[in-house]
Amino acid sequence: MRITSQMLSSNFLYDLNNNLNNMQTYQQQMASGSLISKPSDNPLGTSKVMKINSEMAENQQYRTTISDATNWINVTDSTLGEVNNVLQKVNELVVSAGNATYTTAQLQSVKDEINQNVSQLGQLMNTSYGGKYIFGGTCYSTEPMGTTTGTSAGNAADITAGTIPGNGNIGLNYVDSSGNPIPTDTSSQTTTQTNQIANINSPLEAEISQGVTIQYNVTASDVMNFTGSGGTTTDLGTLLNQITNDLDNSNTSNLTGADLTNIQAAITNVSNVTTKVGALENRMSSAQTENQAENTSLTGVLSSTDDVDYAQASMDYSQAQSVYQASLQVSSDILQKSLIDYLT
Amino acid sequence: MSGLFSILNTGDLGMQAMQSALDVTSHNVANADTTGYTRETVDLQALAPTNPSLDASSANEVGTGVTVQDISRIRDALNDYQVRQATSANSTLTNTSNYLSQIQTIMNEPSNTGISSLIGTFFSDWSSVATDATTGSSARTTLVQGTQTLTDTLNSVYNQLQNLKTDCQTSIQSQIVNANTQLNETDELNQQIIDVSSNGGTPNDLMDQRDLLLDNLSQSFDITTTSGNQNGITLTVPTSTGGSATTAPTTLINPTDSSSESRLAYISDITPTTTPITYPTDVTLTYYKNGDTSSASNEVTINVTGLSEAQYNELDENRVLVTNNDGNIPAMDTTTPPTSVDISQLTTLNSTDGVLQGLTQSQQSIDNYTDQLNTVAKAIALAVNTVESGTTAAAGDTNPFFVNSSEATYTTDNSGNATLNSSYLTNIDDNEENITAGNISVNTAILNNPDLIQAGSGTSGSGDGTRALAIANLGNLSLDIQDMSSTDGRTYFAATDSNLVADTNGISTLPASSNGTTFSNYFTSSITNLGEQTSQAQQQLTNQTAVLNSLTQTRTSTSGVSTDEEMTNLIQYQHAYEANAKIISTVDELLGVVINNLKTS
Repeated sequence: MRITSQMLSSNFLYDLNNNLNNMQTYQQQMASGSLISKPSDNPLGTSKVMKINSEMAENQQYRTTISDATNWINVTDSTLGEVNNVLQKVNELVVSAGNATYTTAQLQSVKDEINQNVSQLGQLMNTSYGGKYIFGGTCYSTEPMGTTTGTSAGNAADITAGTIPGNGNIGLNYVDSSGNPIPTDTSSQTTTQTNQIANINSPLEAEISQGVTIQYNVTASDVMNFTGSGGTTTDLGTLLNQITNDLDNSNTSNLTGADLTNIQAAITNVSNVTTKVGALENRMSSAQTENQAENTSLTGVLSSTDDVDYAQASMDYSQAQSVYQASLQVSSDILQKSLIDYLT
Repeated sequence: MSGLFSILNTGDLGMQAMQSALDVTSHNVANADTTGYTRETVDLQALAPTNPSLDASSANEVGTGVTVQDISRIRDALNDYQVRQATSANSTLTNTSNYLSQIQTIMNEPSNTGISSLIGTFFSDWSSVATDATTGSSARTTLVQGTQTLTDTLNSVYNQLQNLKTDCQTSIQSQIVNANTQLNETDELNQQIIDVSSNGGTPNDLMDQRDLLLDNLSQSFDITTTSGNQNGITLTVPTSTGGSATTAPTTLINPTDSSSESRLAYISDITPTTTPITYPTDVTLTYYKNGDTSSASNEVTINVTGLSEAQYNELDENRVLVTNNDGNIPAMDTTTPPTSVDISQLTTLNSTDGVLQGLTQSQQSIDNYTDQLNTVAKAIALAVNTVESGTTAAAGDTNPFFVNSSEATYTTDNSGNATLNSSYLTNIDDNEENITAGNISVNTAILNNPDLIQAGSGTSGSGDGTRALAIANLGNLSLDIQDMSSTDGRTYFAATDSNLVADTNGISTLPASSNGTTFSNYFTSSITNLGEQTSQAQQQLTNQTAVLNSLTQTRTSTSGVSTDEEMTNLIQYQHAYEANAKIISTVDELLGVVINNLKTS
């Protein structure tokens, strides 16, 4: 085939360009650390990388949710411990008040102490974490419970039933969003108030993994409602009102009978709830471990698809470099010579 | 005597022939690096004896010298044809692979700042709102700000793709101008070559120039050249009428009748006369004669009737009209041109290769990926709007989360709270059907006041985030996104409210589809397709470049000037010239002997 010098130089340029292209590819890979800089480098790999990235981001979101829920549950756990302590104290006081030798004045002082415990209980039920009331259900931005001090104007039948506290006694009750007490009797509640109680007692759910949600809160009614003596559902607030009223009336038979049984039932209820919270804490801890494990495995797959193997890349690059240098050297020798150099 | 003088003449002819040969050699050497130059050689022929006769006395007659019969170009016509075909194919691939790379760059995937990542963040933000749903919570603010980032990015990518499409069209226009100029130059050269040839000359350099122009023209579209009399050529390109698939050749260079040649015009604007478009449609078409947009007198506007959707798209992406030599389309070349023509009267270029075809294919790709982007944007908007408001009847949604920003207007009060105007809500069905990636945006009323977002079931406390949780789960829901069309609204996912399903918290959400896909997967597969298409185009380009390179090498091998060869020829002709000169001087001496020395007195 007839060769002209033009062919030699255009061949040289074409091959030189190819060599430089190769070198540039390796250079870019080593500088960025990833094999895939644009989809055309590896379309299927790109699809994999994009999917893994979105899964990892989703995983990250679940980790945040798990962490928030765990903190909430921890606060709930310690608060329930405190509630248990308060109820134990009330229990002891009720036991001591059953002593037939107590005078009215002594019973009054027991009652005063119990009133203090009721206030403390009220405070505990309004514990907040991060600005949210942990027993508030979906109404966590306002306090779910409050204490009311009884007046002399209170209806005697109501006082005996325990729906309102006696004169000078402190009662524990639900409150609405303006802080007004909600009556225990459902028939005397307004619709708003009934809704409020339903909201306070609704679950808060968190998604800790795809399609897996858990309820992480304990509602006020979980603590307040328990099965009392006679097998009926009793409200803790009602019980405390009855206790202080019985102390006012020095009704020791009630104190040593129904009241004592009920307060012990209340304590059992709280410890059951605490057990459930404990189990929930374990659940969250294992969810966190799973989440981290998933993150690690996703990172591994991503790395195997996209990360540059520096050893391989450096070898390829230096090979490309030597090809480039060889082509430069040889071509410069050949291109410069022609017949004209030898004609005199 | 006549013997010696005829030897003198032979010598003289020899010297002239060598002089010609040296002339040709020097011309070759001077043009050794000229693009498109074909090397020339002298065809020498020995001259026969002047009076050949059959009697024995002339049996030993000797020829009378040498003559230059022809100065011929060494050119292979078949190779030319192959090179031009390969050039056309190469140009197509260069353009398509270039524009596909640009689309890739615009999409910016895989990356942490791309749309895929932002879609993930969007649904994660809803998840955060689910656990922090009270009014005034920071999760709400984060959500609307994050959504705005998503919509801004969608808008920006859409605009960049539209700009890229406009680039394509501008390139088509300048390519048309180039092609027309080259056609006119080729036509002139053609006429000159025919003139010179008919006078008996060999217009080698003119033919070189014409071949170079044909090479350049082959970049623009497929050309078919037919050789005619006196070295003239006829040039045709494949065209089709009325958008049909069958092609017929149209003559662009005619050796005998220049005024019957066709030229190309550039369509600068195609606007349907009715919006929204229903097919078949009428359009207002504006084109520039010869693609020359520098003068307003070249602008022609006509009404074209009866376009189907395929014909409209083809015209929009092709942008080339075939016109008569004066720039008018044949239907308008009458004394009273009509204002309206039917699509079947328009002729467009239909070549399979070339820059123009490459730019048309690039526009098709851009349109394709823009459509997919629009589908993802609209699907997300409609799905979120449906679940957030709880209804598939858009008319029942007073504060949609995503709005069509080209239709939405607001009234703002003094404290910065915006309200969506009722004019948007009256046409909300149409407005939502027309949501694209270019006009998707967050409702400004919600942007300014994130508390307007319905995060709960509506009847429970302010901390209820169950609706936000349902929206967050839309990110993992399998929906029939791929079949969504540009006329579908909220009812595409669920025809009526009774088609909505309640999730575990009682929130009405969209039903899952068994052969659907998630938003994220749909977008990922769109990007994967783009990657495959680009990678394939680049591969084909590499192969085609190698083919073109190899064919060009063959051409250079045949037609290129080798300075070494010319130098060798130079030496050869130089010696021959000297030898002929020597013969003349020898004969001169002999004549001197005869004339001067024979007669002494």
